[in-house]
Amino acid sequence: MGVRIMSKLDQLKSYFRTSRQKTWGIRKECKELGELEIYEPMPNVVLTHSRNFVTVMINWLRNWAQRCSLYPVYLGMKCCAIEMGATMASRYDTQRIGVLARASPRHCDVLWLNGPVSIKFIPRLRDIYDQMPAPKWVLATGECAISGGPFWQAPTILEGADQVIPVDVYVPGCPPRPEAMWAGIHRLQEKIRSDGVFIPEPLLEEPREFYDRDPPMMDLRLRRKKLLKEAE
Amino acid sequence: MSVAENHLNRLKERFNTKLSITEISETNRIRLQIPVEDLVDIMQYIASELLFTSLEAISGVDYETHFDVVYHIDRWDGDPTVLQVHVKVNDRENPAIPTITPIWESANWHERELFDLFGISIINHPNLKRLLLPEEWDDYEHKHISELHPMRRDYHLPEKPFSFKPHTK
Amino acid sequence: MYIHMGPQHPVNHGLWTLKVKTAGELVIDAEVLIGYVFRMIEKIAESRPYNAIQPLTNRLCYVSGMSWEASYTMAVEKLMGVEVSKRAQYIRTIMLELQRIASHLTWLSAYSTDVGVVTMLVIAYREREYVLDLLEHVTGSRMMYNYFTAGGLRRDLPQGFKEDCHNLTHYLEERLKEYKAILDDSKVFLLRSENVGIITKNDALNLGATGPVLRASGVQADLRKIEPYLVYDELEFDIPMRTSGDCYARYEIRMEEMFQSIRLIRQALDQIPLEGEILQKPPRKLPKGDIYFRTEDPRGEAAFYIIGNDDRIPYRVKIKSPAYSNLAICNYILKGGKVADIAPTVASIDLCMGEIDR
Repeated sequence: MGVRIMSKLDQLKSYFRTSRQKTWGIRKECKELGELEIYEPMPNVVLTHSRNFVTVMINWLRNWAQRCSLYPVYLGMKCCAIEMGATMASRYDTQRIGVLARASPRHCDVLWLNGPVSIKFIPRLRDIYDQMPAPKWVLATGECAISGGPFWQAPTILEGADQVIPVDVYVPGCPPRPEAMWAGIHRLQEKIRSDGVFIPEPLLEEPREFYDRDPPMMDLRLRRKKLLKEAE
Repeated sequence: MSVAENHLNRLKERFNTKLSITEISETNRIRLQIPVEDLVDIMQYIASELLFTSLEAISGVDYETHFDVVYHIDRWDGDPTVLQVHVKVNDRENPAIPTITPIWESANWHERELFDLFGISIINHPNLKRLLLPEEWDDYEHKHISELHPMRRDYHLPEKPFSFKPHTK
Repeated sequence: MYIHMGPQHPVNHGLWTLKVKTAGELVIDAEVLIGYVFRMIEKIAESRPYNAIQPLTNRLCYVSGMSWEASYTMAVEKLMGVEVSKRAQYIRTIMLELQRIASHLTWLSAYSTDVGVVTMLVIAYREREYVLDLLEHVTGSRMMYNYFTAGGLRRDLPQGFKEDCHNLTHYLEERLKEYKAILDDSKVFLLRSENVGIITKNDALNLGATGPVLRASGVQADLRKIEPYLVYDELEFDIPMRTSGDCYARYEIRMEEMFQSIRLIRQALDQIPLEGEILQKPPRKLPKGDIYFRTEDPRGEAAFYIIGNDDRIPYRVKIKSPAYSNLAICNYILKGGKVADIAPTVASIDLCMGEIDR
């Protein structure tokens, strides 16, 4: 019997993937085509193929309820947390669009990342993300959460939070002004609005704003789609 | 005779043979260098007789041949004198200095940080664990000893696969 | 029973863990773990020229970024032997005092929420926005200013600054009196702040506490009076001191400090010389030698120990932050208290994780 001794580094690496990946067929297809494993978490939307008046209206209602009551977690990591606080304060009030911070991750929708992810914090961040019930989104504000920021040279800082957690909207700035954070929340709301049973072609190709960046594995996904089309 | 000269003279009377470098700069900073063996005695004297009541910082400096541990000691009764005490640690394989924690409790975390980042082990410290780096840092795959203690001079910051490189001159 | 108030917790402003061992409501043991935002600024600073390190010092304590910038640039100037003009020194003083008010307002909102009076959360942030508006008018940015350079400042004051500043101080003075009255009348606030988290004088000195924590325990210690830098020896101000050492004393001291800052700003605006160069070109290289320079941060005593090596890149930059020692106090004083007293004690010490983890 082989006893697998996991070194600490392996334990840490296991945080970079979830076990949910095994239930989706995407991983298998990648192996067939000989491509890299793509880290794709459980999507927030359950796709069905029936599209009729009732499902579309229910979907619209569900999307409206979700996007107009986004609850972020009280996670204040670094400088951008103060601007997050300023955005939630009285001048740039976010409570009027439904954004109200909650202490426990089990009550929340959005993980609002404020600062750099350090190696010591990876397991905790992963725990917070896992404790949030689906559907959940991640909003990465500030340069440190996008790409390591001004401290990218340090060995203890990851180059961006998207190495651990799938990120939906990136808001650049160091720190971004409350108006920019507001725009980030608005973009996330638009993204939720377009989730659904049926994603029409024009919405997929709508022009992206400067703060909306493709996740790092997007090229491989598009390439896979092309390969699948050619195989047919 | 200024206040700083007063303190320096009292130290010289008591420990003349042990002090290597003694000078006063900017009228307020007394610079000393003492050997490692007499560290605890001299610090005890400074705390109880000269009444310097608080330890400000313990910094480690890595000159390539030896380590230099610098203590900054202060008093908060209107006297702006700061004692800057240098301790030279020659051994690069197993550097060790005794602890100051019984004298000033604030040395607890400063010495832990010194151990964490430089590798200088502290004798008789109550809780010698890594403070800033994660506790599993020792278990990761490291190529050199200096990666265990990253503030050493032979450790260079890693080359990360990022496109921006600051200009170095 | 063990409680881990882990990195993500509304009471820990920032990322740090507090492991508490309790028997019922009584706290038996407490341990503090830090390092979740460790960015090795001291190591990065060993590979950059001295003027490229200054944007990093802004991010050390992000709530009061200008005071850390000032500390670093003044240390570098003293090492190089550069003299700054009087006008630049007066402008620096005004900026630092405005930053002190903004920092204390952030503290006030966090502290009063933790104690239970949630009104001040949003009110203090609103006042802080007015201060940041003024700072933005001068420097161009709300939080990471990049205004100080070795040799002076980057930009001169804009037109109409004096009037704006006088309006702001007038407004703040009225409002701060109101808020002090609100909080002093609130029974909840008094019950949870008085006789909570007592730090005796010997403990405070031994454990290396500085700033309002030390002044609340009976030590008259302010670096602006002991070792004056900039133009503090030409301006008149008082230092508040209390002997009780509890959270209420620290709160009173910080409110008093805000009023004294307003007084300092008004005096500086009256005495500022109208002519003088803003920026003098500093030498290219840091000379050989070392310097230990300390300033009065809103949190305590911030110090830089810089060793130069006749190069643009410093040999070693050691950052001594006040919140580091102030947080280490929590290892000792929480014992014997109650679990409900942890939140006010920890909040009254005024932490900022950026400077603790560096």
